[in-house]
Amino acid sequence: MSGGPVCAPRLIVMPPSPLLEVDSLSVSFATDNGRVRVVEEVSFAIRQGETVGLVGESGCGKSVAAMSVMRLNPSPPCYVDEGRILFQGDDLLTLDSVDMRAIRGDRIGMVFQEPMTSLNPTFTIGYQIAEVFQIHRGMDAAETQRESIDLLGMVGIGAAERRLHQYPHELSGGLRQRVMIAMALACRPDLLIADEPTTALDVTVQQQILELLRRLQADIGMSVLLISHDLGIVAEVCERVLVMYAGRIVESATVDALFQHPQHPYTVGLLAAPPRLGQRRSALPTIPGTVPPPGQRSAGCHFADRCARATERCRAETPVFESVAPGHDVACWNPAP
Amino acid sequence: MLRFLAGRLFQSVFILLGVTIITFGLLFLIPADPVRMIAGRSATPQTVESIRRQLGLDQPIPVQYVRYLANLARGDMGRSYVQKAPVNELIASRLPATLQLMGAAILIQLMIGLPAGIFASTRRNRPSDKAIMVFSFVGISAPQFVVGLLLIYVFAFKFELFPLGGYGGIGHVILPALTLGITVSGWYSRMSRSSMIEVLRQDYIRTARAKGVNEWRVVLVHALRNAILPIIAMIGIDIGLYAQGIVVVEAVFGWPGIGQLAWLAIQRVDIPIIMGVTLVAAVGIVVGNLCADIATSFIDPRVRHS
Repeated sequence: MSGGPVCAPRLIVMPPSPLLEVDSLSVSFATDNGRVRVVEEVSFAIRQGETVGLVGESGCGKSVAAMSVMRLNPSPPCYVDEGRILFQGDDLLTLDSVDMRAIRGDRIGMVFQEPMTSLNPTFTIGYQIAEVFQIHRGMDAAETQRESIDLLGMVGIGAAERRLHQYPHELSGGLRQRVMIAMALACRPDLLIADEPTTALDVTVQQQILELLRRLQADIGMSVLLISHDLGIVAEVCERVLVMYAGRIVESATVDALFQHPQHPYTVGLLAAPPRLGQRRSALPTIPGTVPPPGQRSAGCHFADRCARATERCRAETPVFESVAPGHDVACWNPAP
Repeated sequence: MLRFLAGRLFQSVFILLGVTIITFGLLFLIPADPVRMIAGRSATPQTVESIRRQLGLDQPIPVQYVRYLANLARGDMGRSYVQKAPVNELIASRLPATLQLMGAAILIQLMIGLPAGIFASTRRNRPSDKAIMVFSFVGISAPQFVVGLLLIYVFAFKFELFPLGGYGGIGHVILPALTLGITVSGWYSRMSRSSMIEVLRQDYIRTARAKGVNEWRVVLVHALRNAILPIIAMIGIDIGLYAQGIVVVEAVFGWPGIGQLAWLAIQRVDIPIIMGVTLVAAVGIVVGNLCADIATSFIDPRVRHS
């Protein structure tokens, strides 16, 4: 028997078209020194029910790319130069603002990094949750109240009825992030975009929130795009990982494949970077050099200047995103062995 | 919240006391002698002395001050030197006119300033924003007597839409209130613009948009409720700022309010009236701030709970 039949059932399960398909998306910012491109020809797809992690250093463009899906980047100064974002068959970039609003908060939910500032300080929790139901479901006050209490129970907030009358400043960071998640999931979206949802939280609270996200993903069956700078968090929650560097996606693989056979030298560096307990090392391993800021990126591979494996070709030609194994793609002229 | 208000009231007693000390002190530092103003140029030294004794102005200043405070504690602000009437009555008869003018002016200033500022904040750096900012600057820079005379010329003299001046019905209050309102609205449009811009870049505005809230609601509900807080505080403080404007505008329009009373009193060194008007203005500022605090606590739960 060859390896073919083992793979076949997985192919059958895969639906014909993905839930979200981002196709060569380029985004730039208008600055005093002209347009600066922060996202360069990014393409990826998320299937129904799939959890995908988008990993990269701060400033690599991962938040801008994700926010483009919701069209929440402030414009000016941020503009989508080209590309398509297909969600359930619609190109989100060509929708009018009314249709786009109908998708936001209903079919796509979003959770942000800063739970302390992401809730409006002058409205009660109840009001802010109720708004979602009123906008997308047209519910009356009694229905809204009932649904809101259910929802807070679902994200593990006790004494829900009392919480509805409280203001954000009366809640801890962890509770606020649960409220944010509740708001994002109120309409049972098909896609949840979570932008660094645990970065601002204590480590113990981080674990609780990740646990919650994992459980809710399984219950609702939604797709999740989790943005993080922390490969460890992504590994815990996601099935597949996209690694982004300086505005481009450089590697895409399942979590297992990425951790066992990282191909891009940048991914290799990322995996070597976190210190591990019980391992005494004279110096923490780092990737030499710094991320080139947008606008100062050279031709060819943006990682070439920091890469030990870089060749002449790397500096001259932009690497093509190619498959090295089934479901494992990498943009590198000289991938790790 | 009640404790906070009690604390504020307690504070304001000391503020008002301070106002009386400073005003009283300043009035006795100025070189003009009220007695000579009353007695006239040709009065004999005896007449001057007898008037001085009669008014109690022969006493040492601290004694006069304590006497004034004692009367004030009983609610008596003394008698006008010139008008020979109790200051209480003079102020009481003119206060309603001034309050009416101020109320109308604040209403106009908010009706112009707030929408202009909010609109400009959503059109930041675009032509409409720049145009509004230029207009607001003109409003801020224009002297009130010029604006007042211009309005009289156009709307009262040319088109005869409103009376030229004086006191009466709604028609009379519109032009003087517009004069005050237009000039002050420049400040308010600038302030509400910057306050809105500050709030519109907050994370919770992005959250509202991510929920699918439409842009109108984002601006007028989610943002404005937060952006209005510094503006409310400013209205409370501005009641003091109005004290100057009121004097000018009441003079231009012959509006029989406190401003006119104060202006005449200053010309004749009528100390009891000057003291009285200053005190009333100070009380106005204190009350204005208190109202602003109360309004703020209704909108901002963080203030209410602290």
